Amino acid sequence: MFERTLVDLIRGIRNHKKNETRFINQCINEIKEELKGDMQKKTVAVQKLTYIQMLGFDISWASFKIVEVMSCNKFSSKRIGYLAASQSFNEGTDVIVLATHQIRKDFLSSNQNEAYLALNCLSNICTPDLARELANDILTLLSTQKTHILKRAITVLYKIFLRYPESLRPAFPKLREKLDDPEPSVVSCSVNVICELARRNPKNYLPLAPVLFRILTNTTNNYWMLIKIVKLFASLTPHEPRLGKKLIDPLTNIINSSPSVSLLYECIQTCITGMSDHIPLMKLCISKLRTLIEHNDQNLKYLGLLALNNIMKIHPKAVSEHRDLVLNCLEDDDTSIRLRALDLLPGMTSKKNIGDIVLKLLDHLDTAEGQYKDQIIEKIIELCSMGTYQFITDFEWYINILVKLSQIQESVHGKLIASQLLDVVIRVKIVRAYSTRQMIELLKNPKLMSNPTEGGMCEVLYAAAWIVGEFSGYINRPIDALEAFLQPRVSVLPSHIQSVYMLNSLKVFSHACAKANGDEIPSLQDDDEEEDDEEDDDENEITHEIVQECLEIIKSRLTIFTHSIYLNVQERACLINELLSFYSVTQEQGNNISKELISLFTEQLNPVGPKAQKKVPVPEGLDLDEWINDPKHQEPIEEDEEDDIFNTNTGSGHKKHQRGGYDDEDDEDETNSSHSGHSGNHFNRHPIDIKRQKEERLRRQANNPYMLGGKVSKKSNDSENIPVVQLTGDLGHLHVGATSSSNRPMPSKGGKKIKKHYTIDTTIEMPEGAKESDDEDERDSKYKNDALSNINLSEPLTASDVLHTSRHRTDIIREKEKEMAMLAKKNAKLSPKSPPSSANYSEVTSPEIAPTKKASKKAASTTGSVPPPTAKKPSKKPAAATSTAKPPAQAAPAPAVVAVVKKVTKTILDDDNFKITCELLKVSPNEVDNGQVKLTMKVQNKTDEDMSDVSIGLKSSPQQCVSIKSSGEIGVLEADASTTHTEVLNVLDVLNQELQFTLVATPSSSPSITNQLSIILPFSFFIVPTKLPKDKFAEILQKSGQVSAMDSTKINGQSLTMPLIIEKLSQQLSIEVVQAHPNGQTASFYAKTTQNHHIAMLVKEKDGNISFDIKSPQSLLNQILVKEIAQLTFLSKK
Amino acid sequence: MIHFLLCFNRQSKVRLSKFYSTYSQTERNRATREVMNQVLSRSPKFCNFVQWKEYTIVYQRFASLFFVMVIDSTDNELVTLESIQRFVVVLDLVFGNICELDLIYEFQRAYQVLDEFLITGHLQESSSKEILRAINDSEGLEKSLLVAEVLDQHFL
Repeated sequence: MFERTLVDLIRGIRNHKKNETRFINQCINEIKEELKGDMQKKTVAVQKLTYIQMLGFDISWASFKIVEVMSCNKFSSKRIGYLAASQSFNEGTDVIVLATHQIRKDFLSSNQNEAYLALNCLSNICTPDLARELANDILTLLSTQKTHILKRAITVLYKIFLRYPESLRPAFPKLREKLDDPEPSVVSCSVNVICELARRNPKNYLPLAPVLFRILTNTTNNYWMLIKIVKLFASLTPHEPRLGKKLIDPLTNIINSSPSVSLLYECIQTCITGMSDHIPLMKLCISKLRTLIEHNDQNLKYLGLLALNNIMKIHPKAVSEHRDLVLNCLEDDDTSIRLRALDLLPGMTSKKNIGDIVLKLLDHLDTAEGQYKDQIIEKIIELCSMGTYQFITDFEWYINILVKLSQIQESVHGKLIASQLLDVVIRVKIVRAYSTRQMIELLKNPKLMSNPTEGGMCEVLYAAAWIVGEFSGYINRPIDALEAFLQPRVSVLPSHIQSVYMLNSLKVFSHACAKANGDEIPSLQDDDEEEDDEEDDDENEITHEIVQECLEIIKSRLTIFTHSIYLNVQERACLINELLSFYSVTQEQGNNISKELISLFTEQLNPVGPKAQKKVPVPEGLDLDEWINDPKHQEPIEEDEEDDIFNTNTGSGHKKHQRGGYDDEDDEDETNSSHSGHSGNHFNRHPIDIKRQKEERLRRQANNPYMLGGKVSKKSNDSENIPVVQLTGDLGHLHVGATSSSNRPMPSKGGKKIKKHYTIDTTIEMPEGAKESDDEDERDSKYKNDALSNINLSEPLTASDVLHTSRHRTDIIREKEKEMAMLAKKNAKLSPKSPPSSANYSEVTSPEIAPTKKASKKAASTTGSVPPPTAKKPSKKPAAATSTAKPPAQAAPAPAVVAVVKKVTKTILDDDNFKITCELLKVSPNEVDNGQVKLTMKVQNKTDEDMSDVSIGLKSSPQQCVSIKSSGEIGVLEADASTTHTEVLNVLDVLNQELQFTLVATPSSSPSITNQLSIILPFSFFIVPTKLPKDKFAEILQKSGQVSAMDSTKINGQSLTMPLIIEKLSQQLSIEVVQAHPNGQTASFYAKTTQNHHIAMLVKEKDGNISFDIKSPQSLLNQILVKEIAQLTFLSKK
Repeated sequence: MIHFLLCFNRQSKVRLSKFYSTYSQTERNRATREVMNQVLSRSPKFCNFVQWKEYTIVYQRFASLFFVMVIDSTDNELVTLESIQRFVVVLDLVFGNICELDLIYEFQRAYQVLDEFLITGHLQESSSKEILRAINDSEGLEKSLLVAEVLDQHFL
């Protein structure tokens, strides 16, 4: 069949421009076929895949074939394979491990190019497994003389460190040596690697400073490397101030003389991070940056501004001298340069020039688009609100600016502008009258309502409506405002804006009434004087006729809102409707309730620090983590909870509950309070009644455990004429800025409470540095959990710092055998009298009920660190298999409890029908889940007919053991097939080692058979390996009752030494030595069962005879142990 | 370090791509698309650096092709730009007056040049002479091996 070559494929793709994907998919199908062919076909196929992969197609399905091509002997194929691998493999490619050996072989290939390929490829595809396996080989390569290999090996080392951090400590000395290599490109590669490492944990590399310094001062032409060295110093200097001083001269030198701009730029960056307190150097840097910014090259301009921004964070004054330069950059064609210049603006602004700068930004706004537009809006607001409006002298001007900003279409900053408006109006009293007039204009503006979306520019209307309503005392033509509030178009706005419209129309009306009646409006008292002049000019005195007109307008237009689809809007509208009809009714009766109406809205609103809520101190004796009530009582209260939390700052929020914030108001509370006012009037209740009601509510709240401010509100309850706090005096404590949406004015009752609130705000406010430290945490966290950055290189290397070496398992076994032989020889020398006995030679594990041929072959192994694969298969040489097991206590370092994984395999049933082998595994023998045993039974059907309804059930009593997890019924087991059944058991009774199971099966031709299975657990399964200090051991012995029963046993005629006994006991029974007598004849042992029985044992050795004295709480336990000891395998000879 | 390198034309066709940090294929495709959009939307008068996520894109246009390197924002943008230029110079030397078609049909050779120049996202060899020599060496070797193979097959 004809196959496409690579060129055919590429041509084909180019010719199928319209349906490229279809063509490629067709090719992929062809390639799948080709991959089944011979090596040559495969190579071409892989080559094509590489091209297809570049176009973004997934070729991970071909990974295995790629590995095959990689392993080809032909260099040209190998290269294609390696390229495909390095392009397409990633962490998830599991077949990489198959390539491990091939890569290792290619490292040492006689053809250097093959080594290059392997190294390059490894640098791309390195996984933790590969890194662990190949770390040693790479390290060996570092000793090579071949520069080209050396360079690659050094760089690949970085990847190895990343994926296998443990290799850093043992490998680092070699890497360090390479800094002294005569070949500059080798030094350069080492610097690259160290530079990357130092970014993660600079402290480790401080000792290298002298070497690096030497390289810095001696190298002149290789500026690629110099840049890296200078960058490396940037990470080191913050940790060693003396280094900074030393660097001043060489860096000044480079800055003044180097022809390379990139090196100059790097030096400046390093100076900024490390030597920022050296003023002359900083001045030099700034002047150099100025030349960069003035340069025609856009790139230099961009970088200059970027670096200048870094300096500004440290020396804002020095940078502000270059205001003209930065302002010029705002005119640049390139938005990214303009953005960088925008970043610098906050440092350039002053009272004098803020007007000019903002005007300039507004100019840009006309032509700007997309993201840049939003950035400008943000920047204007940031500049103006900086330091609580410290640069603004004319607030009417600022209100105008904000109004202008609100006219901008398609901006995401509606909320930001709205919160600014609210903030300014609340903080700056003199601007209220002006802004109220402006806001009415804004409300009338159809532009804002043209395309209302939540979060869009229409959010400004929210602020506008609130301002008009709240300060409607300044309005002389309430009809205008009401018409704006109740125009039909309003119903297209988002619901939260509509509901603010509703409530504020009521405010306007109330104020109009009050004015018409000549009532005193408390909220306006403070600044009446200023307003007087303006009001005098205005001829439009509010009359009762006007009020009547207002009433008509509201009533006629409200219908559309009382039928609103939004519940919150509907609720407000209905409320107002009711309130006004009540007003009309009382009006007709000759009573005027305008005073009561206005009293709903008389309280002053103050801005709240954005973090005030968080900083409310928890009252003494209140533990928020504890249940206050039983969980079941909680539900009915839950609904109120949110409201209460909102009110904590200000005590109970009654009477006055309008919000300028964005949270969907706590409607319930609000309507409650309005209702209380309303109903109070409606039923002509005496004010005392209202007061009583209020008190009652406060008491309720005070008793409410969720109400933090209960006490406060009680106190303030009786204070009626508390002076309202002057806003200006407190401005300094408050936060303004981009977050000011949370700056919403909160309802407050009286001055005392406000004061209270402010004290909260200032006393708990975090110190200046607190926020910075937050940021720092964040920055560090990038590398915090990274193993590579946690490695300390200054500690000397220890025995544990070795690289992983993989060897063949037979090698390991052979070595162990040798070791054992040596040990046995030594023993024989020590006790030549006793003849070697082979009696207990082959038995390793505990007793068995059905000792078959197979069973005696099983291998028991206890492994402390590495479970060798040998342990899984029954080994032909039991002696060898046992010898691989290390005594766990010796392998593991200090901890009292040593985790040992014990595994025992045995055949438990072998009759005509079934053969069942069972594997026991002690699962996590720690104190948490004592005595868990995992049982894996391999059931083989030996008959030639199918068995159905096969099941294995636990028969042992629940007092003895409980099944935690079981693989369930086996079901049908076909002839000659086998399956596995697993159980996880919790063995509760130490004294009964036998586990009983029932096997039920129904052969197809005969009645069902039942088999009893019995498995005896080795005693060691019940022992929690415990290392006990001497004093604790003595304590246990002394306490009566702890170890009351005592039994003894003896082993005679074996040439055993105490160290061997210690080893065997620990290894096979998990009984650990407490103290061994120096003469080598006596030792005490200790063990703890999973049921916390203490077992103490004293072992004496005399002339090769060993006596064991066992003490434990129960004699039965002793007997079991005696049996176990008798079956111990003491290996005295190979 | 360099996280990845891309080379593509105005029609968003990728001509070379090399990832030095590990990404899955979908992540690679997404990153490629995003970077291409960022770069292609810029006017030629603009500077050659763009911020993208926590990285910096450094790009340079040569005729119809864009060469892009995505680096850490703490890395030196200028020297990255220089390495792009150096890479293109070496490509030009190796191919002899390179054009887009050369890259398309001989992408493997281009990758070879790249491997000589960069490894693990770091500069391996800055001297173009050295790179050229290494490429010639390996190509010469490959040719001689090929000849030997052909001889093997036909005459022995």
